[in-house]
Amino acid sequence: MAPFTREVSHLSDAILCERAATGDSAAFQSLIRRYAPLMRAYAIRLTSSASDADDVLQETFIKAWEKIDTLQNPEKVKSWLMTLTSRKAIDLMRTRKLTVDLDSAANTAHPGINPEDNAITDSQIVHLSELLKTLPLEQQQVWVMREIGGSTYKEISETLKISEGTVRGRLARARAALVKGMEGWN
Amino acid sequence: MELMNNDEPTLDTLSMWLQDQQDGVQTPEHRELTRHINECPSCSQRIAALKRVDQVSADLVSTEVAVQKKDTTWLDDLMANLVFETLAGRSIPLSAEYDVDNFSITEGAILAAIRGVADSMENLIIGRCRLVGDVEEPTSPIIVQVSATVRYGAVIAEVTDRLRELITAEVHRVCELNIEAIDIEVQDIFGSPLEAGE
Ligand SMILES: [Zn+2]
Repeated sequence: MAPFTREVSHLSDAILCERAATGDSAAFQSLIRRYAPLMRAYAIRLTSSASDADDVLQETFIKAWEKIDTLQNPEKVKSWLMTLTSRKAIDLMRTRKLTVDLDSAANTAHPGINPEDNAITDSQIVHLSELLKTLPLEQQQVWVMREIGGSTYKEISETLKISEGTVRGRLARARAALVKGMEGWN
Repeated sequence: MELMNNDEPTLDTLSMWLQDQQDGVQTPEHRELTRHINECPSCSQRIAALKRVDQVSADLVSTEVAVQKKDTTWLDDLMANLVFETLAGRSIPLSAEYDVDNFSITEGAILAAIRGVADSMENLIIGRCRLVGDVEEPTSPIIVQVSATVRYGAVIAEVTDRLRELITAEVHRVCELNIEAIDIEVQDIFGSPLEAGE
């Protein structure tokens, strides 16, 4: 077995990215597998649906493969993948909005952690997860892009096409609302 | 974020202050509010509550990622439906004496061949691999640019010399490019000191 295949899980993002950028699809797939769970958790929060999230991921993977040779800084591949994911998710939500408005029943499907899932035993986490869904969508988006996406205010403002001041304000309100909702759980 | 005489800051304001604090903001307004919070038990308590929620938030995110990692059939399904085709790149002409069946070979195929021989080495893993120069012009000088990570404990000069030999032989096997130089940039090491003695 080639050292590449044996060592792939220990190799840096940068070397996988450089291989991928010069045409190695195996290196690209290793990179994708490294971040796909984070990307899917992110996309589920942004779209409120596992199947929408998978559509988002599929498009993101294709786009990433097409564009990886344009990435200036291979060390930043993780945040680049997360930004691509959020752009695809927000685009999808913009097109979905029209349909969902017409059929608000479809809007009851909720993402994230299923409280019945035995894997999640921490009641604070479950409570926070439920609380998040009660925030206005615009606050949820900003919170998710900051907390899961690790995006800067600037990146969020570019993706959502709002000012950085608005991003800061929405994030602060989201956190304040979560504190109020978590009272008694701390 | 102004502080009125007797008004306590709202939770939104405190939340904004905490963000600014984490972002290293140093405005006079921010410092004024910092002084107030340090002296005000009620505000200190609310800041502590905001920080606790930040902690639960971080736990929520790691839990959600762990759920996705636990069962990755969704990922296998997604990957099974996708084909990541390598761009052919430029077309490198072959003379009839060299290959009677093919008039050319793609740049992508040459790079894959180079990666293939490099991957046969035990002490080196290549990263970037590029052909610089006018490859479509049969005689023009070409530079092969490679980045690599070398096994801990290996002698870098020996490993890179071996890689040069392998690349030179492989390129001549698959095409007629006029290789002027092979630039190898060693960027990193792999493997642990423990394995080095083996
Ligand atoms: Zn106070």
